[in-house]
Amino acid sequence: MTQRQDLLDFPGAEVLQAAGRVEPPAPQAVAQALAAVQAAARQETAQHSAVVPLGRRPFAHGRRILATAVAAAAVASGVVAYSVTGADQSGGHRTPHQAQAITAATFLDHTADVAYARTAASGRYWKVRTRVSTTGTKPTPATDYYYARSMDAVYTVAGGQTHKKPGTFAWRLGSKELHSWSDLDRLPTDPAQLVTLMNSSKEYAGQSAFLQAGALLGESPAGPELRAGLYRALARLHGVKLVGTVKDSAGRTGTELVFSGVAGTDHMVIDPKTSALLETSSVSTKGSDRGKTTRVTYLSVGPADKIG
Amino acid sequence: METDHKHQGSDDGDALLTCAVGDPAAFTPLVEQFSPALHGYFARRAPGAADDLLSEAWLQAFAARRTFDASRGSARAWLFGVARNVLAGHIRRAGRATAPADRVEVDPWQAVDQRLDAAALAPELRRALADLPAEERELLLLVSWEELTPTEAAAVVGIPAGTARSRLHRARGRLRAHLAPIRHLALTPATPVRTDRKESA
Repeated sequence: MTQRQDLLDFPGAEVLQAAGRVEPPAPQAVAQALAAVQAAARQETAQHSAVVPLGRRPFAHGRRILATAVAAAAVASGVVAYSVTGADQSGGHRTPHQAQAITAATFLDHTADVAYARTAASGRYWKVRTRVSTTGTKPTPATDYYYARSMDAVYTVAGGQTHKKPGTFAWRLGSKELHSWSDLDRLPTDPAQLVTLMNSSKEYAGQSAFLQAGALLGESPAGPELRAGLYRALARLHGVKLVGTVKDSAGRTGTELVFSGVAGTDHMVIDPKTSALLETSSVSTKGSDRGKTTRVTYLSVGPADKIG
Repeated sequence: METDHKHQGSDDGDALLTCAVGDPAAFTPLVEQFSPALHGYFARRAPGAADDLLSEAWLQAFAARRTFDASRGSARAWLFGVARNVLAGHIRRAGRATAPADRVEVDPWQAVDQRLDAAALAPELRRALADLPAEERELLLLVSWEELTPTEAAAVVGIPAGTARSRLHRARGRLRAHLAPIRHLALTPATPVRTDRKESA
């Protein structure tokens, strides 16, 4: 028996295979896809040496395919334009502030495209290995957190010891409490709606959308579409700036963004190749904690079928 | 131990996709090579939108081509992974238009079941497939219809290859258990066989 026969060794396999037969695509359908890709490739080639685009592109308007075509072209220019520049395409000059804001948006939109192409999580648990450090205190050892799909318990594994934290747990975005993985799937993925949602909680008024998005991107099993939406939502936030290429505290290379909030300055380090959030840090700028830095490093994040 | 078979041209696809990172023009041959397979994937799960989804998937793949890593899987599996995300987005959008926001499903089973019904698939087999956990059914259909290897199917849904093999093994076991009495009934039609299932009207 061949491997394929072995794989399909169940009653009705042949009938099932036959039911899956479809006509090949019409030549026009392939031609349409080819034309779209060729147009995106041409735009990318034409813009390869260009500096940053002149403004944030409106992503959520118009037909989806058109928007995606724009994204395809923008990705390439974004990749070569992450360094801060003071000149625009018309030869004029832009202030460093404007240039930084635009390149941050470009980078985040590119990261959204990368996030969208990633595969969705599939496993019994969502495992997050983090290391937390705070100025003036001893860094905690790396700890593994296992979030069950129902979020009715969280397991932690540190130093070979497993602990179960009973109770119900939830992520949060604005006024919405997310008590299960399914709740994440029910969130809107439109960036404008996400921004509105993140700003919808009075309790969260002091916590920036930047931090809320970071928490979901770093710790939750948000699917590709939601992750892409969150990155696009960040691209729409005023005040997000691109710092450039850095190494996080674990020595991994990423791109750093910074946002100045009400009570502190928040940083994110993102791996542009995978869209993974590598590290977040917050520096307090007010009160008795002024100057205090809290850093969360996401050493590994992904699905797991068992604890330990 | 299973050894995954290689699809003809899969190495070419890996090389083309890798080259396309620096040379956008190298991407276009992939469209002609893999469009029939990707279009088939959409046609089986979203027949009315397959053409548009094909274009959307290719644009997404082009935009994200830098994330392809040949050491982590084949171009074929990577492209089906992109297609899977595009399909999930389509189903989610369509679901939002017709269902309350908290009941939106991304499983294409409804469209798949309609296809099976139209193909006059035995009701027992349809029921057996419907009763499979969605993640097992998805893998089974990727292997059966898209002719992916277990390793490729694992890459598409983002799980380890060993997990995919286990799930496929369990799915086959469930189908055998579910359908064995019917097989027996077909062999000896005069013998009543208790199936412990309610027959649909």
